[in-house]
Amino acid sequence: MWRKIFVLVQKDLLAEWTSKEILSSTVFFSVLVLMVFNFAFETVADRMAAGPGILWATFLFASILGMNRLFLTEREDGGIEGLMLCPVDRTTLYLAKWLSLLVILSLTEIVTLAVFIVFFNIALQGGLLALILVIVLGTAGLAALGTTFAAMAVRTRTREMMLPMLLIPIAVPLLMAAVKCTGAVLGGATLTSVGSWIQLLVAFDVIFLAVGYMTFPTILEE
Amino acid sequence: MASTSPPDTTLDSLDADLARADRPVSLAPSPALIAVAAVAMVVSLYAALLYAPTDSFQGNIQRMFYIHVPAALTMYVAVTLIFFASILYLQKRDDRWDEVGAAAAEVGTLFGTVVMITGPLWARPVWGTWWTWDARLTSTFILWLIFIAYLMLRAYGGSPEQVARYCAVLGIIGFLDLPIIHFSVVWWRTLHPQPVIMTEEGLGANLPGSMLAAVALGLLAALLLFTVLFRSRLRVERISRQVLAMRRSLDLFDGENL
Amino acid sequence: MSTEAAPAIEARQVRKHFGHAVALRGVDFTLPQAQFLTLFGPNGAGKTTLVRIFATLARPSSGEIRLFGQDLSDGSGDLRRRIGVVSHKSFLYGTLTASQNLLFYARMFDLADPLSRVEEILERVGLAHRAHDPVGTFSRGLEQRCAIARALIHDPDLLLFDEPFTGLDPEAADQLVGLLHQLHDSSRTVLLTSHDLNRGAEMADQIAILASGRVVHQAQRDEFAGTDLAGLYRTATQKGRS
Repeated sequence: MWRKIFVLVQKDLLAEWTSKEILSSTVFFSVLVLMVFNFAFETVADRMAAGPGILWATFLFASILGMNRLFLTEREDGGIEGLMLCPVDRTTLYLAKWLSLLVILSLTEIVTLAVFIVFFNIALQGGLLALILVIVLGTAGLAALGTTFAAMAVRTRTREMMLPMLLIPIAVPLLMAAVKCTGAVLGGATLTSVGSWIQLLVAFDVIFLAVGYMTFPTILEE
Repeated sequence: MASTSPPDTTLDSLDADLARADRPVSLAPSPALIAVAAVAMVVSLYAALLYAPTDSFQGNIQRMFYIHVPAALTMYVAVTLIFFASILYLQKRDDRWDEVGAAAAEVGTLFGTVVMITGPLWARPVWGTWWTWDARLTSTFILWLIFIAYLMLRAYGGSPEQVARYCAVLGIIGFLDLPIIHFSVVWWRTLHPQPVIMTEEGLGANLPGSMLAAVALGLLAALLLFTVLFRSRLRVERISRQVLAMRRSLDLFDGENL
Repeated sequence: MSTEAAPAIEARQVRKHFGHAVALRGVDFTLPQAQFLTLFGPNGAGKTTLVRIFATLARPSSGEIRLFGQDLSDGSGDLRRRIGVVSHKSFLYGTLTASQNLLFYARMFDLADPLSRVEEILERVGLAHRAHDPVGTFSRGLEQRCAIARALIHDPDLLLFDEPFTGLDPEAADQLVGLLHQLHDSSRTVLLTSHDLNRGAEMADQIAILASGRVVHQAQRDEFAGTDLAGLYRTATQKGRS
């Protein structure tokens, strides 16, 4: 199973690397959104206070864009059906798509983070690793739900419009946790001070990864 | 040998579909149930408006509590129902569980809308704002959004077979998210009146007996109303599925001589 | 029934509906091994739905299907190794080269020595000269050839072609016919659906006609060769429609 997952993820990443279709749109979109937020908040103090929230709101919107692109193209070229023709379990396909999405979204977010630090003049105070951990945990959860919901959404009549409607209400706790943790790290605190939020993130990731794994065959059925 | 396929004379599938159509749809809430629900609603209204004492701090507007809280609790009952129906549907692939999900979602959304309207109506005079992002209101609001997402999936999800599967998945995910939502909103910040019913001291320790009675009656009335509406809606759903099955049977046989 | 003697495809009373719309109304169909069968039928007859079901991409609403004696509904993982599918979707990734696409599928099918297998199959379909070009740059005919390479790479026993002649220019269509002849001679089992009565029937051992979700006619080569196929088709589809 892991070998197949590796082959699948490698294919997804190779395809993305050659075209950079998804990455270019999500990164550019993130920069635009950050700029909008900058104008949305008037004083520097407002911006600083809202910083973590702005960052995660941007991650969320860009992720939705990215998820839609990833699954929409699969649908058009029949890519995911090509995968269904292979002797591989559909649950394995879920894990592979999750990982591919996780990597692509994380790459987007690293660039977004860099732009964020510049635009909002953030002094990191040595919390970079902790910050990256929080971003990865949060993105893992978004990717877990996103794989499930995007696969469903592209098969509905409203297509990609369905994804935010499904994803956002369910992902609210993840966002809250991510924002609290990010706020703590940017404020110079350690992750242990937000231990319960970290636990919530991990629990979220595990639960929805498990549910996604088990329900993917049902979603791909026709 | 050249062969032309004989007209499909096995009537098994047509029989099955017609048998389904013939199955008595006895889901309608009985007159007795409706009567009991009506009585409960009247009694709880009396309890809410007249029997319960006026809150010394908030005044009469506090009486909204007796509608708001039972409606919210009923929402949670509805989503639990959807959760179990979703799991059962995915396991057994029996349409009847999908019907339960559809009916519970609609009626649940209705109760949710009541909560969302009574909430601000209560909050404004008491706290001075129409809305606060405090723990309980936020959790309930998110649940309401999940209900609406479920209804959107019902409406736009594609073929009935696909919709059934997808709504079941959403039903499971939505329910499992509830405890996580609860913790996250509670930890985020709290403004709501401190728990008055379920506190550490035990159920109802903080409320005077008469208020507690009014809430209990309100809850009973809400649940009975939910049951009546749910069964009616379920009946409508069952009938529309039967019509679908009949159309399909007619289509299957394409007007051939049976 | 031993796998050796079992028909490649055995379908009994296969039905498929989407809501109230019925795509397949009870298809009874047998395709013995090593036979080449062409399935004709008007648009909306259900050909694509049927092929998708045989390909394990869709599940029937009711009915039984056995491939090589094995029931489709039990864990079809290994069955998929024996099936190759060519449809109007290429199942290829446009941004990757022909070689990268095929290597991917070769690995997914656990082929020994994937690299040389990829080279071999590219030679076979005549794409070696474009091996390192992205599939998105291919013409429809070349894309089709690459899709066929993908379908053949794991050496399947059963090939499913869903309207492969669509969108091909006459030259590409002739090349496809040549390839189909080769496949026919290699005693693989082939199910081909087509609109094109003449090209489709050319190398077929059997033909069948699907109309209104049912198989309304099935005939061996000695019966339909030389007859007026168009007339036969017209009558059969009229009957199916009444």
